[in-house]
Order: sequence, then structure tokens, then C-alpha cells
Amino acid sequence: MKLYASIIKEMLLLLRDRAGMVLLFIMPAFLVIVITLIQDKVTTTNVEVLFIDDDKGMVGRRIHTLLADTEIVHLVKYVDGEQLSADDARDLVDKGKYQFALVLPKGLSSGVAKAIEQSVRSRLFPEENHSLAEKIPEILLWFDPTVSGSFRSAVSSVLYRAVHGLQAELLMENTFTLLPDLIFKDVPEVMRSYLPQETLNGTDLLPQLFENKGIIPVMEQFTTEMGFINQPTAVQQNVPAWTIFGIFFISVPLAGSFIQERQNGTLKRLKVFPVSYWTIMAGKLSAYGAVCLVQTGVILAAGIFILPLLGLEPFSLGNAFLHAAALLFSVTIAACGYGILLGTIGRTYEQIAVFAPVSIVIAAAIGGIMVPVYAMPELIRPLCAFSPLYWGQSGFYDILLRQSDWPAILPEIAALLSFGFLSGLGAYFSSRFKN
Amino acid sequence: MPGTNDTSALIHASSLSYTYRGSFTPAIEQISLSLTEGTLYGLIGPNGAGKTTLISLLTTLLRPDQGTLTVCGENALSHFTSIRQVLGAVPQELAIYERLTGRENLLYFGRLYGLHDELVKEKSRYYLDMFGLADKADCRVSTYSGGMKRRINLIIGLLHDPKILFLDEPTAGVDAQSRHLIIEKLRMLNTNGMTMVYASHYLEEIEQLCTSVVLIDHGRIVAQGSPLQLGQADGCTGLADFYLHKTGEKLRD
Repeated sequence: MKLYASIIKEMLLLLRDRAGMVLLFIMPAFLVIVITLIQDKVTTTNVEVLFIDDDKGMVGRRIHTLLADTEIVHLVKYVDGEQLSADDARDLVDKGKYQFALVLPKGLSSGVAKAIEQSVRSRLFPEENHSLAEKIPEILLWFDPTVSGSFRSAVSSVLYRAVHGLQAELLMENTFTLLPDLIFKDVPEVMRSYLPQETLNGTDLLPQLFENKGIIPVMEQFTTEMGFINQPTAVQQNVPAWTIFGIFFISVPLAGSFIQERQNGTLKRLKVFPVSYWTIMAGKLSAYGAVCLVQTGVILAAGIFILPLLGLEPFSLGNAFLHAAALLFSVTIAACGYGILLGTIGRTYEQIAVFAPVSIVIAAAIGGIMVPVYAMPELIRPLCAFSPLYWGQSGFYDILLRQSDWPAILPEIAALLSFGFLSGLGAYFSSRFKN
Repeated sequence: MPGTNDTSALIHASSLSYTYRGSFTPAIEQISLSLTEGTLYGLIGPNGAGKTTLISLLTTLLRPDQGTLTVCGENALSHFTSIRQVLGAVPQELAIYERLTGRENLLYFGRLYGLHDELVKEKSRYYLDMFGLADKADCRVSTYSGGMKRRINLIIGLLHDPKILFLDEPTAGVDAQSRHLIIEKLRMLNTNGMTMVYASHYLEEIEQLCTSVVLIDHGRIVAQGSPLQLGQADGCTGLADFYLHKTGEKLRD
């Protein structure tokens, strides 16, 4: 009955703490959605590029097709329902509304066709008299100067790849077209009718030859000392990360409740009640643990149900539900232990209201919650070992990315439980010293 | 009577001493007293005299460095859990939860005394009505006036019908109406047999309410007796005069 009384009291106090509720439920759920969307946008680098085709010829059509086939750029031809001119596009990039614009100038196709044919002919028939090639109008790529270098390189490399691919295809096409002339040039007239003239012209083969673009295989694989094969997706990174972050924030109201009870005298009053201190403590921990459970459910639900509505993959634990539950339980124990410690060593509520969130944000920053550890500078990376939030996150990497089993996550679970236990022990000795 | 070795007393303290950590001066020094059933004791003394420390020792909140304490014949220093069941304490601070309603506060503290819900609800209704809080019982304590908070703070100490109730300045900072109500109801409860120890700076309250007064200063009992006896002792003209006569007019921190 006494434990039940303590749990109910703590629940009521917590539920009526609006700021605490926002901190525990709204903030992590909001963060998981917003940060996942942002990271997904950044990591997939699908860039909107204004596409103006003043050429309206073969080159324009084929560059459009080649660029549209990539996952990196999204070509925009119309803004607000209106087809863009080169001036409009430049204006939009100048104003920073779009970061890139690609302009294919008038006469590009005819210039390219002439230049390619001239280039092939001059090599196949060097004895002929060749006139100087006409200047081809340049393809223009405008970009916003605020765009980072790597981002710009990504877009320009896609363009260069398309241009070089097209150039190779046109060179081949012209070579195939002119090759019979070269072969027949030295063949006596009487023999020409015996040669398979149609077979010698291989232009029909071109679509088939260029269809298979990946003859030489290239394997892209994520390799790191962290040992996972695939880079975590924005969803796999953020849903567990912000769940752990949210759970750790339970230590703020928990510490606050200790300090408030100490400041307003209720803790002292409870000491003359026929109830043990451990019952009071167990009541607090049970109530805050239950809130953590609901909070975890809310954040995971956001990952499973809301993120897919926003065009992202749903968060999935696969078959590792029990592993994840054990990890989250350990994170809860660590967070509660930290809250009790802060509540015992803190002198005023104001002190804790500042220190607790700041310490958690720092631990989150070095623990790979905000930015994945593998993306951090090498200098900072070793610090993650000191962050309990990283231990939790590392456990999730184990089960989501390394498909590991219990032996792999036991060290993280042990570290988290030890942290919670040692924090509680620290709080006990601190409290005894103060008394 | 204070200072006697009355084994039939409800509370018997012998040579209690207590020194706070880091202090060289004892807050309580060699205090012996016996509190008999049904008496309403007044505990007076200047700031820092040791009133709150003495109440903390008698309610088992603090453990004395020296001395013995028995409550209802039991050693209070070794059986404090059962002893606490018969003690009630109303601290100087408003030790209540502001985000809970008055009724929720009572339910919580009542359950901690081990009372079942029906009994707590019944007692709550009774005392809320007695102290004029029935119509505000379901409002959050944060919306209460200072006087209302004092009254709910007091009711918490009464819920389990303690044999002895310790009140540490229960009327501090309340208006005349609330104070009058509190004094009246405490007198009634004492008339019904509840033993009380009432610490206050309001000497006129002590004179009105208490049947026995203990004056302490510098952690020691300076004087003891009925308000009338003390008020007439050493040629004084009342309790306030006696108080200043014994403790001096020098300001205390």
C-alpha cells in the first residue's frame, strides 16, 4: 500500500508538470521526426536542379534522360507551373531559392554532332582536308556560392558523367557509321558487292552496347572499425538515438523532484513517517520507470508509424525485440541512477535545471546521438566511450547493423546497469555525508 | 512533568544531547523531560535556542549523540518504525505537494501511515470539515492561501490520530482568522485527549493554549511550569516579561 501510494503520488506530480511532460514526450518525438527527415535529406543528396533546355535537340534529350536516371539530382523544368527561361533560372539561383541551374544552350546538338563527326572523320581519314571545328556553345552550370564544395562536386560529377557518357556514345556511333567507308576505301570496286556492307555498319548495336553500363563491377561497402557493413539509415540512426536521449532526460524531473522535496521539507517530513526510505525510493523509480516505458513507446511509435507517412522507411527492430527491450531497460536504470545522483548532490532546483540538461546534451553530442560517431572527427571519437548514451546507441548498432546476438550487447547492458548502480551508490554516500 | 523521571510518561527523554556536524556548540545539551498524556506543552525560546532540534530528536528525525528516549515505554532509538506510528509531526515548513489537491495530499500521507483508503477518506472528510477546507479539498494546493496551506499541513499530522502531536510554529505567517481557527481546534483535540507539544514565538498563543510551558535557550531547559507560574515567577508581569527576563533582550540571529 505504501509503495502504491508513492507510485501514484509520483505519477500525479509528473503528469501535472507540463514542462516536464513536454521535455519527456514532445521533445524527443519531435526531434526523432525532424532530425531523421533532415539527415535523410542530407544523406540521400537528392538535389533539385533547374533544367533549361534551349537546345531542344538530341543532346538535351539525352542529357536529361541520363541525369534523370541518377538518384542524386531531381530536374526541375517548371516553377509555379511556368516553364523557366535561362534568365529566370539565374534569378532563382541568385536569390538562393534554388542551389543549381543547368542550361543547355541553343545549337548545342548541332554543334556537338558536327564536332564529333569531324573528330572521328579526322582520325579515320587523316589524309582528307579537314576544316577547323566550330566552337560548341557551352553547357552552363550555375550554383549558389553558399553550397559546400563536396555538394557541388557531387552535382557536377553527375553532369560530367552524363556528358562523358554521351560523348562516348556519339563517338562510337560516328565511328560505326564511318567505319564501312574506311574499310571499303581500299577494297577494289569489283569486290565490294561481295562484302556484307550492312553488317559492317554496327550502329544498330549501340543501344545494346550502352544498355549494360556496369560491366566492370564496383562494390561500395561501408567499412569502419565499428564493424558494420551497411551505413545506418537516418531512421536506424535516429530512432534509437533520440529514444535513448529522451529516456536520459527523465533524470531532469527526477532530480528536480528530490530537490523540491528536500527544499519544501516533505522529504524531512517523510523521515518521521513509519515508512522506509527504500519504499519512497522504489515508488519514485517505479513511477519514473513507467513514464520511461510510455515515452519509449511514443518515440518508437513515431518511428514506426509517422516516419513512413513522411516518405521514410519505417523503423524496425526485426527479431531483436527482446534485445532492444533489455537495452532500453538498462538505459532507464542508468538514467534513473543519474537523476538520483543529481538530485542528491544538487543544492537548488535552478542548479539542476541548468546542469542536468546541459550534461545530457554534451553526453549526447560526444556519444553519437546527434552526429553518428563514425562521422565525427578522429580527435573527438574516443570520447564516446565515456558517454552512457553511446553505450546504449552502440547496443542498437549491434542489433540493427551487425545483426549481433546477446553476447555482443551484454557489455553495453553491463556498462549501463553499472553506471546506474554506481550513481545510486554515489547518491547514497552523498546523502549520508550531508545528513 | 519536564525533567522528572516519570516512567509512566508518554515520552521520556533523558540527557539528550545533539551537535550538528561542523558545529562546536551543542544544539541540545543534556535535556531531560517527561511528557504526560493529555497535556498540551508549549515549547518556547529565541531563534536558534534548539526548539526545532528538540522536536526533531523527540520525533526520531534526528538521533541523539547522547541520552535515551522512550515513547510509550518503548526505546524510540531502536524501535523507531513502530514509534512513528503513534507520533504526529507538523513541521515549520509547508511540507506538502503543491501540484496535488488537498485531498490527494491527505490520501498519500494517510496511506503512508498504513491506513486503508476508506479510513483515510473518512478522516480526511472529518478534518477538512473541521479546519474549513472541505470546499477546497479538490483544488490544487498551489491555489491555496497561506492560511489554507498551514491548515492542510496540520491535518496531515492528525490523519492517523497520533497519541502525541508535535507542532512547530503551526501558525507562522497566517492571518488572525486562520490562527484563531487553528488554536480553537487544537484546544478541542487536546480536550479529547491528544497530547501536544506546541513550539511557537507567539507567547499569547502559548498562554491561551498550553497547560505546561518549557523555555529553552542555548540548547538547555531554562524554565518550566504552567504559563501562570512562569508569568508570575521572579516578579514578572506575564509570560512575555518572564521570557525576556530569562533570555535577555539582546537580538538573536
